[in-house]
Amino acid sequence: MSQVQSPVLVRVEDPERMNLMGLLMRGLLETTANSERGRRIVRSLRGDVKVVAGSMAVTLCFSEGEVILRREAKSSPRASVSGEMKPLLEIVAGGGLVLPVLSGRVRVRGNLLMLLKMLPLIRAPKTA
Amino acid sequence: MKDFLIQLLGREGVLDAPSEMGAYREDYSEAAPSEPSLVAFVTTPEQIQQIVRQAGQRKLTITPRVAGTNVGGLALAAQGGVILDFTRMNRIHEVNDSDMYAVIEPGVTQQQMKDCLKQRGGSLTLGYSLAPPHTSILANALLGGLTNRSLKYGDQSQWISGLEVVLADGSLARTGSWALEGVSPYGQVPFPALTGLFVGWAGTTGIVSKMAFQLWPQHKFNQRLFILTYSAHGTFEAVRRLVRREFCDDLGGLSWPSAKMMLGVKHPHPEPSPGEPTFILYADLTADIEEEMSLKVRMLNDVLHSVRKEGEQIEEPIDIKTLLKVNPAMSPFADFPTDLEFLTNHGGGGLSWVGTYGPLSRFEQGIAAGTEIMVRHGFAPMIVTRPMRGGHYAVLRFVETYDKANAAEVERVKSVNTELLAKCTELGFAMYKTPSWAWEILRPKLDPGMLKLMRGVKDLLDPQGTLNPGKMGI
Repeated sequence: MSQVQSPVLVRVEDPERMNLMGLLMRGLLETTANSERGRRIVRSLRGDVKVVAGSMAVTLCFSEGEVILRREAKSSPRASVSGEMKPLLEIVAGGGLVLPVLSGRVRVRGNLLMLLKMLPLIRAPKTA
Repeated sequence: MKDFLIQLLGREGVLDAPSEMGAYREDYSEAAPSEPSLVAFVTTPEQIQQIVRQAGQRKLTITPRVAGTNVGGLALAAQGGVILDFTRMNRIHEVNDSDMYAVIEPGVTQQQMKDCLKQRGGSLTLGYSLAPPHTSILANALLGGLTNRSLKYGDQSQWISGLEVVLADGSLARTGSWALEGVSPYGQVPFPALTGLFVGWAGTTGIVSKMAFQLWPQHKFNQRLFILTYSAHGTFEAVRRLVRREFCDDLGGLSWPSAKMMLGVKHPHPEPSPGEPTFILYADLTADIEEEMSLKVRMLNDVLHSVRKEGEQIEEPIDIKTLLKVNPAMSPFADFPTDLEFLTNHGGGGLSWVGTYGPLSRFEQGIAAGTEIMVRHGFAPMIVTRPMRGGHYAVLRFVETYDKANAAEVERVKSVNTELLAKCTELGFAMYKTPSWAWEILRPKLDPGMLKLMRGVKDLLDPQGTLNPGKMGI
């Protein structure tokens, strides 16, 4: 089985202590990261992305074809997304990205190219 | 008794081998297992009458049971007693669309009633309890349980408009308006409210064979919105304000461990993660025209805004449809009745609780005290809340999941429940669907006159102690 075909492991570090945002994202990533496109994206990503929703923070760590969700980043994240829960979840659920970012309801920092590349992984499939 | 039952019900209507009766020995809770001698699948009131008479003559006891999902041992037989299994007595006798009531048998399930109303065009609905689809409507009503329409209409016993009951002597009686020949079961009035003789009594005063209950209009639009809150005060201040605006059909509050369990964490850590919401409120809104719904959403936001202005952190409402797109594991909260598998399918099989009714004004105290007790005993504080009947009272329920095979865990559950009940009672909350262990704690605090009345009623209605003994602590 080639590396592209092998399933992407989505793992939550210390799930008993993971916050709701991280647990919500696990379910999403298990689907998106295992589509053909998702597998390719995960293989191409390295480093951490921090997502802050309301008061909850979760770090997505991409490494060697797997995604680990952690509450705290082990190193400086390469990029971050933050905002209130509702606008973030609406983007994840398929809503527009531009308006929330331009209006400041959702803020992005760091390596924007990495964020754009990662975007399909945190967008719910239309059929879901 | 076995031969009598086989003659009455046929061989397929009776279980007598211990190997067949395993499911009847225990429920989810820590209640001690109990071995029935026989299980009888009844289908008619006449059969119940005959069995009750026979049991009385033979000094056997009778325990009614439907799904067996009670969390407190109320549907467990006394040792060697007979269980009346109502799962086959499940006819819907009448649905009156004009006068908005239904008449059902004990075995009618939540899902069955929902399907029936849908088939009839969906103009009427009922509330559903937070219990699996195969559970009995009648049992929840007789035990004063709650549903997702309890904010508007109260606990399910308040919807009962009439009962047909087999008394301990085998006679049949009707309560409510339909006690008068030719009158429909529209309600309790104007007769003495004798329905109360069988509500909250856990089947110890009579065996209910039919129930008439009120249905409610189903509106065209409905929306379920989730609101993350970050303090008990913010949560219940919002609830107290919302109930007075009277536009929500339902308001529920779940503490953070419930959502985590739904999302696949079987045993959340007792302490919340940093930044974790304290509660997840959900609000059900219904409307007949879109403008009405928009107005209700606006009113909801107005109330939340007023609480935020006082320094409380409360997120904007999120539609359940959005949450489902993000993670379908949230689906148990999309539509009721629902299988809350995360509570029962966690490997250990044990589920217990202290569920109370009490005043909304004391919720912060109740939650703080209950959380401290649960965490001290090593449980994540899984709490379910709901304002009832316009907010005049509310549900405060502490829930534990545990491994039934682990004796130490069972003891830990008993211990935490005892402490929770004592504290809740001290703070002015009263346990509902009260298990027998709880009556032991409550009885010394019960008004002596009330206790005397209860004993008198029990002696009058069941002088031989045939009906579900040991459940009421009197």
